[in-house]
Amino acid sequence: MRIVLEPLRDAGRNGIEVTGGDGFVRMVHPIIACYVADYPEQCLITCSKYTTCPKCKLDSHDIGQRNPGESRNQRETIGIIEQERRTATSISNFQERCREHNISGGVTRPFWEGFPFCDIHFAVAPDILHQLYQGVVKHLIHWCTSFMTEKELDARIKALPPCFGVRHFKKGWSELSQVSGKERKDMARILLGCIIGKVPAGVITCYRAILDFVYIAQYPSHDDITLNYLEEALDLFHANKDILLQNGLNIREHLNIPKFHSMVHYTQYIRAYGTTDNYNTEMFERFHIDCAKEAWRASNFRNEVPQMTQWLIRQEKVAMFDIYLSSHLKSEEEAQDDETEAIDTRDKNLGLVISRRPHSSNQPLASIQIKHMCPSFSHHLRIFLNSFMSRGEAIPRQQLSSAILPFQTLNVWHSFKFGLDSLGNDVDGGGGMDGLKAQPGDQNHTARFDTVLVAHTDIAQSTGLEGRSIKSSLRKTSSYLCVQE
Amino acid sequence: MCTGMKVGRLRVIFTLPEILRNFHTAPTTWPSEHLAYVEWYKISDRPGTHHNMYIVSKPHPLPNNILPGDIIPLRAIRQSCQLIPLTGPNATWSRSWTTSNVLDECSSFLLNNWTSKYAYQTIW
Repeated sequence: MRIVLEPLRDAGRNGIEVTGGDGFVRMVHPIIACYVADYPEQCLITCSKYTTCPKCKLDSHDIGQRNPGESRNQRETIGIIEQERRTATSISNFQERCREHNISGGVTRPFWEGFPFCDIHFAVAPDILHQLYQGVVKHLIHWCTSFMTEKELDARIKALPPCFGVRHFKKGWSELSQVSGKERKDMARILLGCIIGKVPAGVITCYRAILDFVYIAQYPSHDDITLNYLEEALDLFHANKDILLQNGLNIREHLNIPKFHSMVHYTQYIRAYGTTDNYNTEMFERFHIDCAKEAWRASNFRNEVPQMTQWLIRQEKVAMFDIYLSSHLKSEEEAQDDETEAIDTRDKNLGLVISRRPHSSNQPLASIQIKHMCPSFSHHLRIFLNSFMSRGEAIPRQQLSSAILPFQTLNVWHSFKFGLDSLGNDVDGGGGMDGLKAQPGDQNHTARFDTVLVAHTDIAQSTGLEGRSIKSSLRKTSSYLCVQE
Repeated sequence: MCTGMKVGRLRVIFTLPEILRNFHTAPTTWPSEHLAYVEWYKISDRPGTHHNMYIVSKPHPLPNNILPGDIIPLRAIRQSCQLIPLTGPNATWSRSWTTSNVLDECSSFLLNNWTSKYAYQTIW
């Protein structure tokens, strides 16, 4: 690490000239501000004793408390290492003495020594993936087994209704061997709902407080108010956590878990370095797949490192040449097309995406009511159509049930997708799309009718629907819904 | 937030025909866009104290066995949502429930606001 970062040390002091994306050359002083790592590596680089916090001076049996301790400080850490090294009688003696100060004695010359404006203890970044999902949420899921048998939890998970974007665990959780970050996220989505009814209310509050924390911590923008929510969620957890330690539940003896402790530092860190998506390891984990796993597969598994690096170099060259080719081939006209296209796709994202042709056309109303299991459909259809009649012609409510509809068949769709009215950002990935199904069952599919949220106000607006543009009027009719004689 | 929202089950997605019986053209006042038929569920006024989720229940049928529902424009649908079956304390979920029939069999649910970050930010 020292060798890798060596060129940056002078650059930080004296500055280097860097060409920006806008073509201007600026003097830049790169410094170590932020270090993204998982917990073992955090301990290693900050020279902290394992099971203590790399950021503050709390002892390992105190880190379960609500508030952080006094901040560690790079100069003090170095000072202690130096001092103990001078006075120690042997290596094991040196390590022992360091551990008394909650410092691991594994490293004698940390790489960050001598870097300008660097405080390594402040630079280690919180990490949604490893700390919250694979740490805190993992514990929560593990503790579920104290409340109900694995079998029962599995049964509940299997019975959940389907929903767009929510993974359905067909076999439950107990059969998953190694749980990936993505799976853990999918588990967090349904965790709370599945344990309700089996768990004391205090535990529900704890779980909810932690999940609140996990979700709020991932907001793509923060202000004083949202950070306050974050603190409140943490307060709520600490106010209720004692129930987790009760003997009867047999969950845990203590909550001095470094990953739980890390939550107390989030607010401070978000204030200093911005929202958590800036330093989440998720992105780098993805690189791990592209750069290491794929490359490994491309090699013949013998003497693999040169093969893997060669493979990566070639991939990069191909990618760069691709970019060159596409930009070279593109004429100005096409560039303009691109712009309009971009606007089109954006509009599309905000609206509905539904197939041009109906999934089943000309379905008789009676058969729709049976297949879609909606016996009251035609009743509401009559009310709806009646609302378009002019005042004098509208049919009184009492007679409506005997009114004849002016058509017998309808074109029916089984699914559609739509853009969520975005909050200014794509919070979940996947382009901010949502999808719904209203699909009758047949030999190949089981019936599926999704549940939806509808805004109240929109129903009031439905009277102001856009009118139909007429292509050719065959014969104008004013009365299309008539009472049976 | 949820005061402005209704929960329902999407039953039919359709459009009104352009040509009626007797080859009449449909009236110009009819909407040409896609419509949805939704059966309404009842939603509690405020979320539960401990879990902070809204409780959703199936309504009783109106006289004539009519279920509460509405025809709405498809674009009025704001988002999908997941309902989680809700049973009393310590009750076991019925064994007959499967992912495809639980919405029909069970009558009381929790509105799951943890399904996505979007849902978390919009349902509260």
